[in-house]
Amino acid sequence: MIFENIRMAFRSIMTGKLRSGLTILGIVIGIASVIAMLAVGRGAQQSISANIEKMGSNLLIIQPGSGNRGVVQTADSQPLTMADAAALQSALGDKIKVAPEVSIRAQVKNQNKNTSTTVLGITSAYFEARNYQMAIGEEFLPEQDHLTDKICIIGKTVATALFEDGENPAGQIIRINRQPYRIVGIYQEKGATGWQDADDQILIPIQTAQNRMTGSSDLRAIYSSVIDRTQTTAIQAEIETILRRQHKLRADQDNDFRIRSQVELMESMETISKSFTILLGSIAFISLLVGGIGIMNILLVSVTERTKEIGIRKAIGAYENDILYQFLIESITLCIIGGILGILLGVGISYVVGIFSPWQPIVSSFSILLSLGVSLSVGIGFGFFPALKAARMNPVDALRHE
Amino acid sequence: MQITMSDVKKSYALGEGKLTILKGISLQFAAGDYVAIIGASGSGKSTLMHILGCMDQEFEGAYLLDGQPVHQISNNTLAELRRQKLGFIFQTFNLVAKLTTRENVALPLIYNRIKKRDGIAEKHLEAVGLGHRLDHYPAQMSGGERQRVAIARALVNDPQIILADEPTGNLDSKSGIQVMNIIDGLNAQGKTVILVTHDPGIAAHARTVVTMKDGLVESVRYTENRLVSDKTAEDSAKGLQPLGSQLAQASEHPIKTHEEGSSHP
Repeated sequence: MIFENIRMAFRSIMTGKLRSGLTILGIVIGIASVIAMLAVGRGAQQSISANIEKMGSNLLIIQPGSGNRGVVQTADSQPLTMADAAALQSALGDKIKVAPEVSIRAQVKNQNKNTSTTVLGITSAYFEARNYQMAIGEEFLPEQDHLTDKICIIGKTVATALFEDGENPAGQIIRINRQPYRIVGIYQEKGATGWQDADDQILIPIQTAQNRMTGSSDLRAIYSSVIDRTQTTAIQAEIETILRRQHKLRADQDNDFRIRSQVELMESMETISKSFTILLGSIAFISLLVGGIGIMNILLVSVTERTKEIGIRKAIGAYENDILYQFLIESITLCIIGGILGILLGVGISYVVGIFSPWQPIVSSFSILLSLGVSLSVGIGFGFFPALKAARMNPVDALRHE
Repeated sequence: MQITMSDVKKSYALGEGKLTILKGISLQFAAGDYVAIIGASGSGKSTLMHILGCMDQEFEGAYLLDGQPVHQISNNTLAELRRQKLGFIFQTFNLVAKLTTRENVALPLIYNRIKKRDGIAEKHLEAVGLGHRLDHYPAQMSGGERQRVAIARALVNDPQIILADEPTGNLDSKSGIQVMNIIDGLNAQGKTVILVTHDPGIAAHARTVVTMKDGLVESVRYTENRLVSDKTAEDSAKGLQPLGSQLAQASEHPIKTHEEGSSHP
């Protein structure tokens, strides 16, 4: 009998193709947005995790300013300096690689092309600590760390902005804030880290940056990559002790620097991207709900319109459940068809989003199963009331209906 | 007795009070009987038909159909009675518009859980002369053809009782004759036929004529003669005798036999 009910439901759906199509449109859009939103959210999450992984999870980032007071620097906080970096190097040189960093915004020019980019003053340790690999040329050497050579290593984005396609930047002279610098290499593409393009940077020796550009020994950050990963937490505490001594902080004073580990960063990023996914998912879910109510609406109209037919079916001996199942299966079938179309549309939208966004949306089998489950429940949930209304009709009254 | 009704009453709530349609009906029909229920509009004959047809269970009194107490059985048993024991023929045909002739006729088979349905609907359609209309939709056929489809549908589960509510009411006279011939034939095959009509010419086909007035049975007349239309009330009363005493006991309202009763059927 169930088979007969399914056949009748299909017959009825096929008789009103336009109406059925409009009915499932809500479900199609709802499911498609659930699929696409979850895929985008999940893609963002994965790309953030992958980026953090790329930076290395044994990395400790030391930045000036109080960790407890947000981004606002208090007046009495001291900057991080090269002296701090040297202190760390001498105390923990065998356990960590210390990579201080200076950062300057600069205008860069090559003949008639120019671009605004970030110039990082770094040491030879920086490459390993921050996972930079060379595409062309050589890294800076430890012997060069105290020199003020006007040499630089550029990222892919900078190379594209300053040079023609096919032109080899290596060995060329560019002007950074009007000073000539020789390009000694290009580092491998790192891609976007969050919202920042890690390839839109120029690396120069740190002494060059401090002596020729900033004129101070202040640092933006000190990166410390811990050689033995398992020691990361212990080393973090040692660094704190050394820097507090270095900054002559009394026991009652807060740190005037922050030490952030990748684990921490990864956790906070994941929290952000998770809430992002939940937000997108709930918006999509609301549209699915609206679609479900649309189905119920149409089914109720359909029950009213088909009152006479229901009367006939009951008069010739249909059980109440026969009528109930007929309408319920009709609703479920509509929702499942809508669900499948919605999944296809959602996958398509995710694909298109992938073309235009820096990260690739990921359609998980979980979200497909979830969507099918949800459309089934919408079919049952929103179909039940109209179906029950149809099944409970008194045949005499139903037959009188025109 | 195949059909026994005793003191059946039916009323609707109407504002504060209630509207009584049937005021106490007691009837008995034997298997194979040919019954016409006649009466003016509002006399309650359609309501009576719905109760007889197991489509309306909300009544007072008792109704036994083939020994089954219709007044106290479940909804599902009632549906089973409708599809197994009863065949309906309606004035307005009541075919499902979006199903073909063949599908309409097969519908009671499906609801009766008949698995091997091949050829049954077609056989019944051929029997009413519509073997060439199997895949037509109701809208593509004439009234007479539609009514014959409805008859095929009523017969497809081989019921013992045929209920016809004004079966010729929407037909031209030629189609009407055709339909009545089929119904006569069904009775000749031994099926009980109960038809509701206000047309004395149609009622004349029956052997038992029940006249309704104001929610009561005004008279019951029996005849072997097909032209019953103008018998006197005394004749009717005489015809009632064999059954009369028994029914009178069952009913609060003994069957009345008015003098002027049959003058306007």
